Amino acid sequence: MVESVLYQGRRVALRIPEAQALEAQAIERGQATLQRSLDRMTNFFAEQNRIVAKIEGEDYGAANAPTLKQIKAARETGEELKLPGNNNSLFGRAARQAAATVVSSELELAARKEINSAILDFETREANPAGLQDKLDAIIQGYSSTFDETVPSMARSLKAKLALTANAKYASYHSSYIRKQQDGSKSNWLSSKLLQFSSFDDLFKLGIETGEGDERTPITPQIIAALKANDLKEMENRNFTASAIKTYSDKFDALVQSSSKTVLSDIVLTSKNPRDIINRIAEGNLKNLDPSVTAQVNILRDANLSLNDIAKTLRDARTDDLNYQEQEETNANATTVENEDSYIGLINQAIADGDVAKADRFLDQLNVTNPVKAQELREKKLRAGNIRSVSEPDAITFLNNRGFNLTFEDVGSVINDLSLKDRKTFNDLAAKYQDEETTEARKYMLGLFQLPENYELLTENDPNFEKVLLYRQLTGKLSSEVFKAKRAGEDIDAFAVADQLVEMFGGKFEEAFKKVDIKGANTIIESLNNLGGFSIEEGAYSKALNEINRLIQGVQNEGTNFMPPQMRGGRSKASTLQSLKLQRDALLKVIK
Amino acid sequence: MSAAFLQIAGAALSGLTQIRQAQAQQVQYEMKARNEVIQARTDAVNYKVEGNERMRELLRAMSSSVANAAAGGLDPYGAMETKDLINLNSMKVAGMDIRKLNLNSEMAILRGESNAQQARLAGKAAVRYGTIGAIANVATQGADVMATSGTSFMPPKAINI
Repeated sequence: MVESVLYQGRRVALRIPEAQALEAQAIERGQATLQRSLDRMTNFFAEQNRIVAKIEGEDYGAANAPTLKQIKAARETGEELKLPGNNNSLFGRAARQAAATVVSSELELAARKEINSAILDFETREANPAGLQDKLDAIIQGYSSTFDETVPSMARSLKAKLALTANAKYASYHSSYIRKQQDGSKSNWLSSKLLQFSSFDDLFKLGIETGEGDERTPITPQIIAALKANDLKEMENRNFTASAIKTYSDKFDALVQSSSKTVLSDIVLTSKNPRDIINRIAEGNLKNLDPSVTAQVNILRDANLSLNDIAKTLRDARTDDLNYQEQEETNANATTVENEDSYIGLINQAIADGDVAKADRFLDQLNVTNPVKAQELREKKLRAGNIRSVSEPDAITFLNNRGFNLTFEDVGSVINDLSLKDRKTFNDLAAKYQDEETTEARKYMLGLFQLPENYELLTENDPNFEKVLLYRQLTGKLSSEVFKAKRAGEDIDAFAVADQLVEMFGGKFEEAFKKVDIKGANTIIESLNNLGGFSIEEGAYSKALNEINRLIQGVQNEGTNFMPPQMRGGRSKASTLQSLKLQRDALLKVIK
Repeated sequence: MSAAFLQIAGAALSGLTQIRQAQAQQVQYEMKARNEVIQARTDAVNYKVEGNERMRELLRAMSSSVANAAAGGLDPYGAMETKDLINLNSMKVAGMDIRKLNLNSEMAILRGESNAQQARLAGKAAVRYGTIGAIANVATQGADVMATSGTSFMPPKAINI
């Protein structure tokens, strides 16, 4: 059987693949990105534009803001200030704001100046602060109202700032004013209290006036306590510090005690029988005593003083009084004698100073009470030769300080300040120093010629012959100059003269030295020839030097045996070398 | 080096990166275009294979009806016989199927080409807009640098105070 197969349709669907708008999507994404970039760019330039507009607006506003003159004119006329700019654009707003700021600053500055001026005026006049407050309010209101409709916020801000400043300054002035018033009040009060203290003695002595006429009540501790309490209360009311009140209280107590003691001493010591009163106070027996005495005792006892202390104070005062009286009597008795001593002292002083007129005046006065002493002093004055008998200390000090440089001129310069004795002493000293100086100058020249002291010239062969001759010439000249000066009564500097002479004979001086050196060198050559067996011509110094050097070298190496026998002289090696070196130096000096 | 210079350099590098990014996107779009073409051809081949399968099925059904006619005593080669009617019907249905499959195959090719073209255009657009965006960003940054460092865009003005 054949299989039966049928074709069966399978509902094949028509399939359309999805179309993708990739380009559109890419464009959309690109456009979106670009839009963001352009938005950013636009915003950026918009911001820049805003900034520029704001700056330009501010510049315009600041440049065209009303001047201080216009502001003051507006303030005086009450007109509203007109500001540049508007509220419709950023430029306009910025211009308006800038102008308002400038105006505000100008107004603030002007207002501050006026406020300061007002405060200074009040401070100068020390006027009541109430008036200042009104004045400050008027200033603030006047300035801030000039543009409170144009720019209300700025006007209110300015008003607040000025009010703050003015308030601070007002508060400062107010407190300063009150402090000054209080200080003044305190000062016045203290001044009045000082007057009260000064009247304490009278108050304690006389008491308080009571009733009419001269009726007075002795002051009591209760009255003093009430007075003090009243004072302290007044101090509290005047805002004195606690320490000031305490100080015042202590001072009050001290003054009360002091015044009471003084008054009591006055009363007791001037009474007929002070001793009895003091004893009764010490015993506490105050009955039948004078009421003023009783009052003072009560006051002092109230100030914590015992009766014994009070009595002791009175005894001390009485003792002092008695001592004073005794001293007065003693002084009165001693006056005559003291005057006499005083006259003697003054006469001695006048004689010492060489003041003849003054000495005569006091001698006459002394002659009245003590003629013997007066005669004695008159003889002393004559002995002094009518010149001062005692030298002026400054003159003596001056001459002593001159020391070895003392001259006749020095003595002459202070001759009037010297006594006779001192004049002779210092003149002799000047002469002595002059002679000593001349001697020293001679020695000095001897040193210049390199000659020993007390040198005696023997023969012409002496190497120093020329030098000694020259030295003698110079010393002769020096002596001549010194004697000449002495005859003329002048002073002379012997050393300076010596130097001048040496300088004058300079050429000969050098020549003499040279001759001495040559003579020494020739002596060495002669010695070498005679003792050493050398044959060196006179004047052949180089040759002699070579021989000496050779001898030095030989002695150093081989000892003194190297020396020619007659030149050894039994000396040691060191001594021989020293001698040879001296000879070498002498030869070198001539060769140079 | 000043901060302004660094800002300018940064902006330039950022713009360059933006352009490079767009170029990379273009490459991606190019790959997508090729994939679209390949996919379309694959789909077209699949539709052809299915069409062939329907053709074979039709032939088998027609052979069966001819064989059954012969077995049933009918003239298998005679025209307009029953079996011809059956076969005509089968051919009609199969023809419709095959025609649809052909259409699907052509549509796949066409749409694939179209999508590929779209992807290529998208790549170009990405590069173009990326470049423009980069230029705009660099310009903005440059202006910012000038504004920050004090170089004005506007001509200087004299202010009378």
